[in-house]
Amino acid sequence: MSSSSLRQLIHVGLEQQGLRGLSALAGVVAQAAGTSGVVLWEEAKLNGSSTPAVLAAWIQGGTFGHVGFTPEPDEVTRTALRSRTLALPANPVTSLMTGRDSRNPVVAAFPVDWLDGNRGVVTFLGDGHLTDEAFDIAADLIEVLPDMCKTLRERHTLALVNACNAILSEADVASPDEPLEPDELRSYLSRICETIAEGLQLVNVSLFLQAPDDPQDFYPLFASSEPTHDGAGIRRGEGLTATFIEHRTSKALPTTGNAHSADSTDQEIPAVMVVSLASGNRTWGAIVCRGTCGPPFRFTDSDQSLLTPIAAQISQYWSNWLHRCEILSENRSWRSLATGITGLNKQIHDQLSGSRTQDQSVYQAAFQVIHDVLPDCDGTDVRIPGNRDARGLAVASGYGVFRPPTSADTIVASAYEHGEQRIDYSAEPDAGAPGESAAAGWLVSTPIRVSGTMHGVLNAVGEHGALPPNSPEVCKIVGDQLGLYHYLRRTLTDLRKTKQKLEHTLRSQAEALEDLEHQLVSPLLGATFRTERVLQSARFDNRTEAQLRAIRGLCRKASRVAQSAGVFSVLSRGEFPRARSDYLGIDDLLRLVIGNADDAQLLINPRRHIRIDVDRESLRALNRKLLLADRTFLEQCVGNLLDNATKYSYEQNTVSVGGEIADDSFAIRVSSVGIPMKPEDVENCKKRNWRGKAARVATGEGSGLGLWIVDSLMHSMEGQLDIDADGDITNVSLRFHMYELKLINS
Amino acid sequence: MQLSPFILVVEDDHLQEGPLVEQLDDSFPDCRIDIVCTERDFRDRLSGLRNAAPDLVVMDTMLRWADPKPDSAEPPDEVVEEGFYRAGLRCVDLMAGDDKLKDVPVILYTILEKEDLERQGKRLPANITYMRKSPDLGALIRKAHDLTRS
Repeated sequence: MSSSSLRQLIHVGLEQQGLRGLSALAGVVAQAAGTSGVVLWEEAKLNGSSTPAVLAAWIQGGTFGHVGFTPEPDEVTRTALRSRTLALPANPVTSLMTGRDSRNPVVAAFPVDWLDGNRGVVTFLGDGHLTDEAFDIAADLIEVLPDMCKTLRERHTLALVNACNAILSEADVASPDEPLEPDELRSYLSRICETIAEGLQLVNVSLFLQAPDDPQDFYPLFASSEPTHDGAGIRRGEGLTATFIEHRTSKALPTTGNAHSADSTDQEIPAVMVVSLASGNRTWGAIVCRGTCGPPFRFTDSDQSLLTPIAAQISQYWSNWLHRCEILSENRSWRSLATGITGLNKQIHDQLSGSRTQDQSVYQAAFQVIHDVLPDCDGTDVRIPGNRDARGLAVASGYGVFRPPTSADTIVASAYEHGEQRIDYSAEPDAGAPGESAAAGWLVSTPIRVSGTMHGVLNAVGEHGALPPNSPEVCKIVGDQLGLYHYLRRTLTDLRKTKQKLEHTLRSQAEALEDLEHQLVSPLLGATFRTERVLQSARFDNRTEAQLRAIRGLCRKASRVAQSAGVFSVLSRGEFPRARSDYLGIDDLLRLVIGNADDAQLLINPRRHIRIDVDRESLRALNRKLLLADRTFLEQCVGNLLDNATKYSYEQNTVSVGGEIADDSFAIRVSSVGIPMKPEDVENCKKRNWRGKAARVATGEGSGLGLWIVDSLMHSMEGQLDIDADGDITNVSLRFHMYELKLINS
Repeated sequence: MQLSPFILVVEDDHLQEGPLVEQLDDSFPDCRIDIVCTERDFRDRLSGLRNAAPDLVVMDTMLRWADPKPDSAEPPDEVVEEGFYRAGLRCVDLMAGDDKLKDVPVILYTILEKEDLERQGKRLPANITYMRKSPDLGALIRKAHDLTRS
């Protein structure tokens, strides 16, 4: 009979899956002993102290306990627990357990030592007393009962852990590439809550989990065994649950007390259990279990121990999930940044390719990149050197809502002055009154620079939350792109200017060469034509003499042009022509000037009625003094001045050539009435290729080299070219130092 | 050959213009030879030329815009832009754009090379004959005869 009961006990025990299996074991013992019920007690440890608790119970034809039921041991059970010997009631009818009906009085209580080290009692219920046979059977079964209970509990723990593990594995399989969406993960974790609630016979199991986006002092409800559970969350510093999370401890809390606000005492029956969720040095939240609906009708250390591996699993999974989310977010950000930079570069390319660059378009494209990559960024702007504020920086363009902190000006100015990125994320958000600026949550001020050259500052602000990850790096990359844009724009502008200048120079040179050819070929052709005419006429008369004079003038003109070409060549090499030292007296000077005037007169189209008049008397004022000059250069200079004077003179006017003495200098002056020269152009006309607008558009011809050559030749002769313009009267003088003849001889 | 052709000489250098006109006079007895010295003069005479089109135009290329005069009007933008180096070509273009003048034969008589005149893919119109200036005026006279004969 005893071995049969033992086999029955083992058979039933091996069939059980949950903690309810303990009650089944109690049922086998009760039925074997012929009693109507058995209650298994355990002096369970909880939060450091021991108190008797119902481990399991079996009542024939009924249930034991209910939600909120707190069974107390009867006197017989207490005696057995205390004495560690068999206890029998003195009067079976009167030994009743609290909450039990009187139909099942205690008939015997056997002490038992559970294998987890706790002491316990097996209490038999029934109408009468145990027979000897029943007593023996009970004693035999109680002997193996602890092993069976331990085995069943271990199997239960393992099954629960495996069930939770299976759910998390399923979640992993469902998300091989990217982390689960939060709602999907919530669904899986809710199933874990349900599994725990069912396994531990609990009313509710909830998971409070903190994500990086959540406030640091708040653990929101993430998943629950009850779909309708609407708990808000746990805030640090508010209640014991928060304290346990903070200290990363697990603890059961009293039934009667408020788990969020009251202290617990070891004497009260715990109905809330908190198991911390943590991994590494991070605390993620807690598993919070509420309400027991089966034995032991309270939370024990073993319950906490059972949940510990599950809590570790959940913590690890949560940590991994957050990490995967972070990596995914980072990957998306970098992909978005790469795409954005590509777009920005295209915008820069388009702008730089156009004839006029639009900085605004580039800035807006840059802002778009930042806002795409950093969704928490509320506003961006670019400030460039200007005069709109005391710091010398003016807002060139902006995007979004830019409400900088009050310290922004200092930070931005510092970034610009030092050329280094400045970050301010200590400022707390400040709602402020409508229309007023508010303090930002964070500010990143990035210099726009290339190779040490500052072009401005790129600012990004967020009014809420923490500084987004990688935001300084993103701003740095975009800032560098803007710096590159400014550098390229400036370089291209310089290149275009240089190209224009080069094209202008090449065109001027080409025109100068064409003009030179024109000036050289024309007199030679004219001279040749006239020579042909003389030869054809075959006689020498007045017309012949005139022709020969003209030929002589034309040849001189050609010679002068050729000399100008030589001087032009020397000056183009950056050198000055070397002047010979000839002393010229009055006669030399008169011959030179009159000869040049005759030649110039020949070159003037008679239809223009322009006459060249040489004031011989004023030239004779040189008297016995001498000028030190290169005769050839001086001829060149006088010829060029007369060319200019006749070219720009009005019709029917006289070009006057004369001398002028001032102190120890003598000047050959050419005066004409013609196209006016502006006073500010007096010095310009000595520059290479410069021509006054009026002269350029009026006659069109000329290359702007004549006076430049004269000025250079005068320098080489230590003389001076003076130009004086007054309305349409222009006086040009070649000034030389005068030398006394006797001083030269000595 | 026409007995008394009308020849228009556009030349701003009187030293070249004199012998040229003398030679033309000798070769075309009783011909009418008009002389234009500047681009503006040519433009001013365009309307008159429409009524009495020349039989031949001898055109220099580098022409001054105008002789200096007080209060002269500013030249057109293209003149300011291109300068006097292409003045003869602008005059030729003005003739080409005029129905009554577009078929008048023109000898472009210049010291410039033909390649210089046909820069940037521009081709001289069919009625234009290019001749480089030379001391030998005989070639020019022969060409003038050819063109006025047709």
